Amino acid sequence: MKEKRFLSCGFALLMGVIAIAGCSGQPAKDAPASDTAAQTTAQAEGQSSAPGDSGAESEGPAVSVDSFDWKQFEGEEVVLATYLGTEADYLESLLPEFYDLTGIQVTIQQYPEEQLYQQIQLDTSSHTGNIDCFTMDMMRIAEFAKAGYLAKVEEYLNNPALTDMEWYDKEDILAGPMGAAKYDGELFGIPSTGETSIMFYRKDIFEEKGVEVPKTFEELWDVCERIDDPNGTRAIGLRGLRGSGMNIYTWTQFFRGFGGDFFVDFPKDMTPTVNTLEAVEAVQYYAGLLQQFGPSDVAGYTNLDIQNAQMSGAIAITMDANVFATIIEDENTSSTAGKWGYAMVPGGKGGQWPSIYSHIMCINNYTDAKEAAWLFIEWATSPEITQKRGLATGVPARRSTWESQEFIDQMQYVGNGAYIDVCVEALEKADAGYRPVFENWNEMGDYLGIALQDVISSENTEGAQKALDGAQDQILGMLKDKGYIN
Amino acid sequence: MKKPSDNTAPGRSGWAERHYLALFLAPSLILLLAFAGYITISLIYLSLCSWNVSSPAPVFTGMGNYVSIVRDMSFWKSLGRTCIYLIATVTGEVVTGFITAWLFNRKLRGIRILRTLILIPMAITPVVAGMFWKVMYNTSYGPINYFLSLAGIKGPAWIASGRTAFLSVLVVNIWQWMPFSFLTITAGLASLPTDVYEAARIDGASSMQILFRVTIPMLKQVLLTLVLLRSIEALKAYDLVYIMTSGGPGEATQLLPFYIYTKGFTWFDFGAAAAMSLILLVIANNLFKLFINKTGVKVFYE
Repeated sequence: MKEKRFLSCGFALLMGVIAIAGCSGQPAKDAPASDTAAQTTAQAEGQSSAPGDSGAESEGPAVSVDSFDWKQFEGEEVVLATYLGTEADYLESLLPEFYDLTGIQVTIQQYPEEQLYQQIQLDTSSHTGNIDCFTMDMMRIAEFAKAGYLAKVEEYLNNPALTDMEWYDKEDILAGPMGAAKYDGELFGIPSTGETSIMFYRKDIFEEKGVEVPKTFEELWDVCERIDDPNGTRAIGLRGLRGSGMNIYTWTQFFRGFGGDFFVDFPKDMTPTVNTLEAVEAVQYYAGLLQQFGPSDVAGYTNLDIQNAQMSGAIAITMDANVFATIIEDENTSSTAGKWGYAMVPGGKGGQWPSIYSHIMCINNYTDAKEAAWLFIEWATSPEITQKRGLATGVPARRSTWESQEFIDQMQYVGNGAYIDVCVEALEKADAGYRPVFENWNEMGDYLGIALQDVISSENTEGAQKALDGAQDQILGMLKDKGYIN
Repeated sequence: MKKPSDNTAPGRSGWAERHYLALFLAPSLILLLAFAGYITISLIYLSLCSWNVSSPAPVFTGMGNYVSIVRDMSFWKSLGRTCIYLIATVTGEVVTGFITAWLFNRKLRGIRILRTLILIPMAITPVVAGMFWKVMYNTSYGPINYFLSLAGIKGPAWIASGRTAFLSVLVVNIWQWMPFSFLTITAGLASLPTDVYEAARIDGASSMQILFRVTIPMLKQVLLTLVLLRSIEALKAYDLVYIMTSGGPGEATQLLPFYIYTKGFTWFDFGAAAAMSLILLVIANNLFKLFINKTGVKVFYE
């Protein structure tokens, strides 16, 4: 065991160096297509590029050229800013197809997550319009929409001159991610990915200890108690590091599951309710579970640390983003590939709360090339291109892709097909209001995340009420300062 | 001093001759104004504005930001933590740097290779060092706890425990910047005159007496400059925290620069971030002024 540990240490060092070489610099929030994801999906791409070669297939839109004028903005140029990673590389590789179809020249700029927001913030707030469209974290839509930086896309989506209605089939886009692209009832973008959270568990360990897959929080605690091995594989690992997109992303499954909510009545009554009985219960459960059955330094775990712990066999259960699946099932990097089972996340008296997360493609309100940018977004989020991208990432935002035989075949290796069933169910159940989408969510979520991490990193869970009272005060003060409540 | 051109435009060149100092200085003054003056003035103005996600254009609000900062407990705690961090890292770096420099300041075989090896941490990018140490501190596969477990000790959670996180970050910072002290002090030691030591030895001084009565007093300027440089750096400390802990667990390692970053670039509350930066700037300025006046360190060798 110890030898193995030391080996994995060397491996981790190597991974670190690779990550640095990848120049990512910081842990990505919210577990969207991370660098590791990028590495592993590269192969998937290699495979999917073969059908892509049969160009006849990709001339689907060409058929509809008769009725829809794809060439109407020929000669225009569009710049897309998006997340650094293989998904962007892949989209880039499809650009010649788009150019042939429309004559629009698209340039893709890739940035690490935080730099991406800063670039967009800079470009939109200065009204320069250098970046015509961009991919955004759904939790940031509110900020940018409120500031007037985003174009409303409803008018493009419903305009037959700009959207090839039948071919685009907007009803096919999953409701959860689509809801995440809305702010105040208005649509500000189109989801390019659709992620949710699922429960990952080690089938072999469950079988060996003879435990059932937990459906409720009580059962989960029970299972953890029975399978935990303090000197080997710990029972469970969940994100511990503070942050609205970090530990709060996974903790909300419990918070909502215990019946708690962030506000009295969002968005009408914005009085925060984060120190209620349910909140305390959720923090005590989450922190207690991790303190007793988690790795000893889980309080500092990011999404990447969870993946590493899964791959190295340090933890047996986690409830996190489904995008992890293709990463931990990669035999080249994961020592636990093929051993994972997939299930819906357990629930409590508040029901099951699988998370929702999505990258939204938006149009800069200050660009002159809005229509051309729309054509590009329309193309990139179309059933056909979504399918191609989905094969590479495993998290498409369209139902048709989830149901397509090619996608099902491709994902068959993940938990013997269980992945597809669980994800579809979770995506259907997932509520777009998983976390409240408003301009100051990041600040609010961070205050909560600090309180939560504070409790996890302490000796016991007695400090939960005090930590949450502190967070409630800070959030209350912030909301008053910003004029949400009096 | 008359030039032929004086006949054609006497007034103009006369002015230039009288103001030649200003003219020579002009290019650098303009650069200074553009890059330091403008930015400072903008910062001051911005700190008096409300500029955040709710009000996307800066709106003048007077002292509003400062009032909420004074009431913000996180700010005061972060400031306090920064002060402790400053004192602890600078002391740690200078003391360990001095000891190693003093030990290595003799003629031994292979000493030059050793000196080079000591400098390695400083040559590593802080981001890389942070990621490297994150792995070192890891409890499931990190080497530190592995070796502790060989000795039968169950290591703590290091950066994931409220009790040890601050200390763990501190240690990494000292590890990384001790070589800088080492380098500076080694250079200082090499420049000391040898006759003083000869005289001391002839007078029968012990090596400890030589160290405390001769070497350290003669190195005073070097040491004080070193303290000043490292203090400035410590007040800006941000990278290690950002990579290793994100200020956590809770707020245990949240230094003021990191808090300012969070306010400005995660919560997009630029007004408040500007005000905090200004407060930090004023504090730093006065602290260093006091330091320079009290210790008599020569910042400019005029």
